Amino acid sequence: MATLTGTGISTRLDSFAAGKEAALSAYHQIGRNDPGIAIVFISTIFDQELVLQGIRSIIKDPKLIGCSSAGSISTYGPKRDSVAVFIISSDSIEFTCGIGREISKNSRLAGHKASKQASDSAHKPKQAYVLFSDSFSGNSTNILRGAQETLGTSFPIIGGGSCNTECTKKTYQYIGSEIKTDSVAGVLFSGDIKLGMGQSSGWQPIGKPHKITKARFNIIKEIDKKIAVELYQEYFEKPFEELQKERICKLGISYPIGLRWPGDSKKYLTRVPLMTEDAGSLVMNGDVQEGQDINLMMGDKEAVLESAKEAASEAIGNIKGYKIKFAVIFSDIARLLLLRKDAHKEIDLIKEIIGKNTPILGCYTFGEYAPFDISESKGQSHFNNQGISIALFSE
Amino acid sequence: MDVYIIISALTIGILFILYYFEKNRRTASEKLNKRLQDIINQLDSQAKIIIKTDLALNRAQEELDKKITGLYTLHELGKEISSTFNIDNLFGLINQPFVLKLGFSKLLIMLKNDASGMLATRSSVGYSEVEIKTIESELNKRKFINSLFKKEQSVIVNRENENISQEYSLLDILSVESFITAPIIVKDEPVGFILMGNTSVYGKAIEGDSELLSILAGQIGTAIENTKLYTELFGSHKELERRVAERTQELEKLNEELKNLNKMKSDFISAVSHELRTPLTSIKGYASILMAGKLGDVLPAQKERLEKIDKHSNSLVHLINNLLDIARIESGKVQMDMKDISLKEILDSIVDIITPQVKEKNVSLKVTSNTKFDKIKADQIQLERALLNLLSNAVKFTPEKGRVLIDIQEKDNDIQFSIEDTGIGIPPQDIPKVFQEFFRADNALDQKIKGSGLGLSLVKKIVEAHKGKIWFNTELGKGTRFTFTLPKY
Repeated sequence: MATLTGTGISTRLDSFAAGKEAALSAYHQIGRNDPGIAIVFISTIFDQELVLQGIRSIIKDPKLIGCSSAGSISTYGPKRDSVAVFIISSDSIEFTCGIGREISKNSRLAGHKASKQASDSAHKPKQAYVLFSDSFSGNSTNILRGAQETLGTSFPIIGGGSCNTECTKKTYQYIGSEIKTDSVAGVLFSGDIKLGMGQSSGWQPIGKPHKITKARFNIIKEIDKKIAVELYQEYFEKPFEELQKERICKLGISYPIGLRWPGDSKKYLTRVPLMTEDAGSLVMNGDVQEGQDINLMMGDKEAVLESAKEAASEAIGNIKGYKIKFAVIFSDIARLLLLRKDAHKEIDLIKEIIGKNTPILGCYTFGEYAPFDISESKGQSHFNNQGISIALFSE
Repeated sequence: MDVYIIISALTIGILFILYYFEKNRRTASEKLNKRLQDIINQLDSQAKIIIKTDLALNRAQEELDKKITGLYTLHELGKEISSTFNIDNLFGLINQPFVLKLGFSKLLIMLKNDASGMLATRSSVGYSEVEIKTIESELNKRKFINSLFKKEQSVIVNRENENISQEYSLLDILSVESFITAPIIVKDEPVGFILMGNTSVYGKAIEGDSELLSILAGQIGTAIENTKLYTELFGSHKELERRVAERTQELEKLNEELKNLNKMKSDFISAVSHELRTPLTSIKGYASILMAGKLGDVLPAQKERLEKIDKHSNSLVHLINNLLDIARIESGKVQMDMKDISLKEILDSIVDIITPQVKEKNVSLKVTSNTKFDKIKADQIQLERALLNLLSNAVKFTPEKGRVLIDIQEKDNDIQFSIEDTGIGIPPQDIPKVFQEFFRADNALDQKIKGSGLGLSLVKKIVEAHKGKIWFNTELGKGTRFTFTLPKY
């Protein structure tokens, strides 16, 4: 049997029916073989419980993992406001899942627990870890750090932050038949797998460089010795009230802060401000460091599309000629907001490189986990934003 | 000493020169730095302009996307609405995914109760039952109706237009940061409103939303109207069906009674005819014996009376036989003896029989037939009887030198027989009664012509017993054409 994949996408307005339709379509495509894992992405416009019930009405027992998303990415292209069910059936790949709760209390511990649970149940050689975390609670850098403590710093980790229709609304993580928030859910792929990964962003620095002069973990207190929020006030000519609390987030998704990557002045890890504190500090969705050179970043359609090609080419280069079974793609929500109707072009360009008929499973995330600057960092995954990360799997 | 002074002066001079150069270098460097800083600041200012433009473009694109998504979603809903005539189904379609797709998180559809005039919620998204009750109570109590749906235009309310104090407090009642409403109009009367709102400051209702909401309110209004019309139509249809069923039942009952009466009539006629035929046979027999002189000589006057007795007895026997036949055919006691018979033979036979009568009356008789199909499945005796009856009538009611035509045609699966005459025709008032038993047309000629008034009735019964149809066309003073069809097989 080897490995079979099935993809089901539904946009029906009836939540239960949408779940059932997507699951049925995916289940048919694997020829009704036993599903090894169901990876599910559900837009928050749907009643999450009802969608899962719909999916479970078709596929009752298998392992299920996933998260809420702004839209799905599949062989059929991107689809906003959809329910996506991807089923993988394989006799060579072992799938083991884990969950870490209360990331807002201790992100590192939650990340550690999820990966350990998945790792402890695996019997075959561990090859790749895919994780989905709550984007608005906790610290994504620490979630990743927790996973790397279990699996190893250079272990291939890919994934992203779950989404909602609005910046700061609750997001959901799924494991089995449970719907969680404030959690991280992960699935470990073990067995005889070859992997090729690639990542790129396409966001460019704009304006003059700045320096973080005071920061702690994921909170920037001062930039250029001025209150951090002033950076956004200055560039966007908005009073503090308009950027207060979570209001800055929507702006920050499209115009994040880029942290200059040491050793390469052209590369930036990006962070999105989730909210402001009363004193004007910026709460970012990943760690920052005092003394780091930063820039305000801006996206450009052409550069973003070009970056998708770069990521795909990098992934193809890394899989070293093995026949691709399927691809896992996570694209940042910022890319969807920038590309809008042209979002399909990004996926089309990737398909041209990885093969038009390669099954694709993925979704739009709020921040991605992927190896950053693979050649320099020996494949170590980082938490980044505005990027597209691609993992190609081969048996 | 002098040397010391010279060295000191030289040193001072050198230092001065060095100081001079250093000062110049620093000034140049500062100038360069300042210039660089100016350039960076200039670039930064340009970056701000780029960001501003980018933001404006994004906002425009976002609004356009929202509108396109909204219109597409409304189009999808419109298709669903057009296929439902159930108002609850309609409101079921305006569900959470639908509302979120339009970019809102809360929905209320409230309609005015016809009797009480109070607002009642018909559909909601994003509110609990308790919240709905509170909202209903607040809206009804505070008489917000005017501001919500008596206006003909949609209303946008957010925290920024605080001057509308009443509507501002609505934001708190509805637990939203902004909302938009549109009246639902049915037959030019506002019957309620649809409201969509957002709890987030991001999704503020904008002008572009009002068009979408007005379209949606219009669709709902039309659907309510259609549903009402459908319900009324369905009710009328049901009432009509009930009445038809009631009437049909009554007619069936009457029909049954008529059938019973008809049967009783047939039985009565049959019984009476039998009872009459036996003594009539005796009368006829005795009259024959008397006429034959077997009981002694018969005077001419007696013979004349006896012949009348015999003649009238024959008429009476004929009448009774016809009556009996009608009764028997009607009651189904007589089965048609269906056999393949030759049309030509039938025609020859009846022409033979009628020819003396035709000659006596001095009318012409013509037979036309274009049938390729010579055979027909029929009861030969009964068919001949029907044809003879019609022919005999035609000859009887056609004046001298008139014309009688027998025509036989093939009509699909039927054979059509027509007997046409140039006789006196049937008066319009008698047309409906022609096939009634004992009916005789009310005209001078008819009174002179003898007949029982059973012939045409019998013909009709015979044709119908063959699963055929009979009708006629007539014109007073010009003639009549009787036509009947019989199935070929």
